[in-house]
Amino acid sequence: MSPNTPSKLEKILSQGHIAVTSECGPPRGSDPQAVLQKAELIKDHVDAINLTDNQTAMTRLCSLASCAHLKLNGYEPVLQMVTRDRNRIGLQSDLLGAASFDIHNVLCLSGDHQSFGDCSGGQNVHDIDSMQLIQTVRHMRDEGKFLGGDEIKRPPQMFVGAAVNPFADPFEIRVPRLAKKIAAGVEFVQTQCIYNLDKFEQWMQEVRKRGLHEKVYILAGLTPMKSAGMAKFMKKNVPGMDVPDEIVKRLSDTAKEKQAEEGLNICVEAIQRLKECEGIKGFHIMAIEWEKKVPEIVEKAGLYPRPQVQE
Amino acid sequence: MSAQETAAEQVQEASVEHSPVTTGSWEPNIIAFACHYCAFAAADLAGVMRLSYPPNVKIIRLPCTGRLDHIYVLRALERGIDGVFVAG
Amino acid sequence: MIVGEQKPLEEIWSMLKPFKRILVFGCNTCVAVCHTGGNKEAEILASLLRMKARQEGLEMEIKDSGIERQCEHEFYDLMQETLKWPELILSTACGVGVQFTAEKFPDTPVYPALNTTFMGAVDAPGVFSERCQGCGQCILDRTAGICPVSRCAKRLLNGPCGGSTQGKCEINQDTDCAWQLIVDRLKSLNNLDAYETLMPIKDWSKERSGGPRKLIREDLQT
Repeated sequence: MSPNTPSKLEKILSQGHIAVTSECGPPRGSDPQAVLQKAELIKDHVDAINLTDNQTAMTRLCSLASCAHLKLNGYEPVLQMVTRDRNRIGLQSDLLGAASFDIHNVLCLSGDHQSFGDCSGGQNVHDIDSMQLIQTVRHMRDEGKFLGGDEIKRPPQMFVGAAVNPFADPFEIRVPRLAKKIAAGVEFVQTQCIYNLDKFEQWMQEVRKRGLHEKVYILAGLTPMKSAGMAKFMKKNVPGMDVPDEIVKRLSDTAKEKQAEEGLNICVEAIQRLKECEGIKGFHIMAIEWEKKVPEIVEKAGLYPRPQVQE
Repeated sequence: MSAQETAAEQVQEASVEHSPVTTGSWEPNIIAFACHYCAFAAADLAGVMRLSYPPNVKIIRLPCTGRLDHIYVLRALERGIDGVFVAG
Repeated sequence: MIVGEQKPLEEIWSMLKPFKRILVFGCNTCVAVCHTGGNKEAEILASLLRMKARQEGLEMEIKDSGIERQCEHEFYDLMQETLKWPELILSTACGVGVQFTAEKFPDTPVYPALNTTFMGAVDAPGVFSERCQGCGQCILDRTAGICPVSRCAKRLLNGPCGGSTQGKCEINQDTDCAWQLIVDRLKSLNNLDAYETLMPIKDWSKERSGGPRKLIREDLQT
């Protein structure tokens, strides 16, 4: 697939390289250094960096501003946009804002419910949902028009992404849901973090049966476990998360001071296994508040150095 | 609604008696809503057997305690009744 | 029907304190079905308030009355004298009834005894749940008879989101995930393929966002 946008991420994927992305959470304040320092840690080991958008509904420095800071400092950001906080006017406006900084990647999401965050009494917007946002971005890019029909001067050239969760309920529509997002116009997807490799490969098998792996770039999401405690917590408390007992056991059986290292090993092994999985075009490593380990994971997984592409 | 009114009227008309101050201790005024087939029959039988129960309990007969309405209890309490006993 | 919950007694009491003649005014349609504001509940509330007034040593006359519905003019016809007596009308109707009563008696304050909540159905005695938000553009034909606007916490038209877990919504494990219900219903209708049809962006101007709504039937006007 030849690239449709100037996105560096898209170029890497279209040239057949394995892509590596990661993510940073912006601070709960206005100091851009918080984001720039995290980006600095990982810049040579990833192709693009997602900036989350008021994640878990906690008010933070917005993704758009964080992406702008990254872009101005020479990094490749991925704008995350949730439909929870803005209506279609705000979303289109922010897309133009991102495009004005030549930000070329966007991830379209619904967003966690506001009851999880610091403003649980607030309204949610969801004027459009994540699928309709995918359609909107493609419409603005490909037709060069606003939703209202008027022409856009200098339309955004965005590589459009979305999140998928092969482990969420209801199980029977997890592949149809990917098909739906592709029909809406998504070009790359990042999966929820994978621990149950067997179940994930089953999902990939269904994906391949429908030929969907050739219509979208699938990046497998991974989060290294820091401890057995983290594994147990995620298994029990995070909706849509599938952590097999073997993983928990493997970490519990390890001495406490070695658990972090074992967690990294599990992560690297998963990458090695999924490299062989047909249809996986890259990896999305989410090591929130543990960004400094991303270079180690990327190197041990044999994904370093990152390919250079002409901008 | 006549049965309801009758019962409610009975509550309205029941004068609020203050218990005789003989021993110097206070006795509550109680209204007992008793159903015809069970509790009222029991009260009747107690009378026949010459068993006594305190004079501060007044009985109002209902066909069944299923007929008890919130408002009977509330009107009784508004009139100054200290406690309502429902038996059935 | 419209469901409302009675405000806590303390809150109602704090609204009433400055007044001497209060009429608790019931509505015997929707809010009687959920047992929070019907004529009977108005009678009960009046009794409780009288006892509260006596406890606090306040001189207040509190009476109760009610009509079939507080959203139609005709039902007020026989109540004109009754409704002239109070200094304050405490209406146990839904928000519609409170306002309608206030419009008809502009010289008397009309206060709400209820917090009106939603349009819903009686699932079981004592259990009422939301079904409709009056969005003005019904799509139930395309969502297997289950409304994502009122039953999905994010009103997703192409759900579910990633938070759906074992058929329950991420916000509360007692809340069903509307999209799980839709998928299950599509399956029982042998129509799971319909899931992949993309629902277009909704025109929200037909709901609250577009401003207060009015329906005029020319053919029914006198």
